[in-house]
Amino acid sequence: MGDTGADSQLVERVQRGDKKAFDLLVLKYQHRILKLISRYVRDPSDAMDVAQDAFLKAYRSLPNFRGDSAFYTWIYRIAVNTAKNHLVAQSRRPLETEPTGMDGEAIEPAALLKDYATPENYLITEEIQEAIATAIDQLPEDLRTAITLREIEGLSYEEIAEVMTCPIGTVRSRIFRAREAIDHRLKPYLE
Amino acid sequence: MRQDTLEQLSCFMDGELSDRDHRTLVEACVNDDGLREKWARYHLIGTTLRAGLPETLQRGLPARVAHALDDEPAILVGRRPRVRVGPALGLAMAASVAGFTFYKLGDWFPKAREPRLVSQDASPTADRGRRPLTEDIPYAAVLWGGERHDTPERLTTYLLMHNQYDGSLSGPEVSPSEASPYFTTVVHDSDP
Repeated sequence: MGDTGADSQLVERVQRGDKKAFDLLVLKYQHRILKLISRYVRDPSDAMDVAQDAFLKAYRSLPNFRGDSAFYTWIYRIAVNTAKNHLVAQSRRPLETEPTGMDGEAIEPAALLKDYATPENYLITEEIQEAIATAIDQLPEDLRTAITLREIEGLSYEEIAEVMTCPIGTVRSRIFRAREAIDHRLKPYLE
Repeated sequence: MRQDTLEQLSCFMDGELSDRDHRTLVEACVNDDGLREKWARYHLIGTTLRAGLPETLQRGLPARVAHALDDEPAILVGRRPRVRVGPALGLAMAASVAGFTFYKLGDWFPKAREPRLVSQDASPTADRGRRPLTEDIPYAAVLWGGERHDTPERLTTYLLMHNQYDGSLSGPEVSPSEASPYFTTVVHDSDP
């Protein structure tokens, strides 16, 4: 079934009036959508606005979503179109007066971004990636294989069971325990 | 948080949870902040492993979207009921469609009124009602005029172009038995 099965169940729930189910979709796709939009919109603050706009457009268009394509494919297109529209609107916008500091000196463009693209943020991103990599390295062999086959290779539980010659229930348990171990290392960075 | 619920959550995000269990879990997920945070972190792990994170990790997006959604109306998509058709009704519908199609095709191909090639060896008695082309152009035009709107000029052009098939217009005088089956005559059938 793949993880699109979970998406379609959440989409159906939103289509029956449950807004909170949409929140789960946002939580799931936020980083991928932000990363995608950041390819078009350099300013992190603008990228955040565009991502929010894209999710809102997706929500408003959900009555027309019939599930012919995967939810991510669908929202991917919405995000790209929203980012492109943002760029077009920005190019039409008249040049603003160059912002100045309190003493009248022009502020460097890079300084304008400091609230968003702080070195601390970069550090957190790198630290998160490093923490996850370290956690995977320290997993027992069977858990590491199970989580790698699932998350990186995208195999189904049945396929993993075949590869690892074990019951599906064991695969399910190993993947869960691997996630828990990684999450245990990750949690402090996100608090 | 119970371990089996978390294991179900892990299974659900992989799309491997049974239909029976997923409803209860989604219900718990949308209402339990702890489960939602787990859901977010599990997906963060997956995204990091598969695609990598964006350059800057911005964490306020879900809250902003949720806040903006407060002003949005809830979506209510009506379920389209499936019409169940019994075998007898299905057969009747199919027969109706077939009958209608046959009827309409009959309109498009009015064979009885089309000009046709008739073998010259047909006996004179069998030719009753058919007339040689040279004599019958006005007659044919009258026959067709009401329905086909063909003018005598068009018919004349058509028939002259095909006069090599008409023994009365051209060619050596040969008996029908000599010419048959290559010798044919174009006529209009006056029978409806």
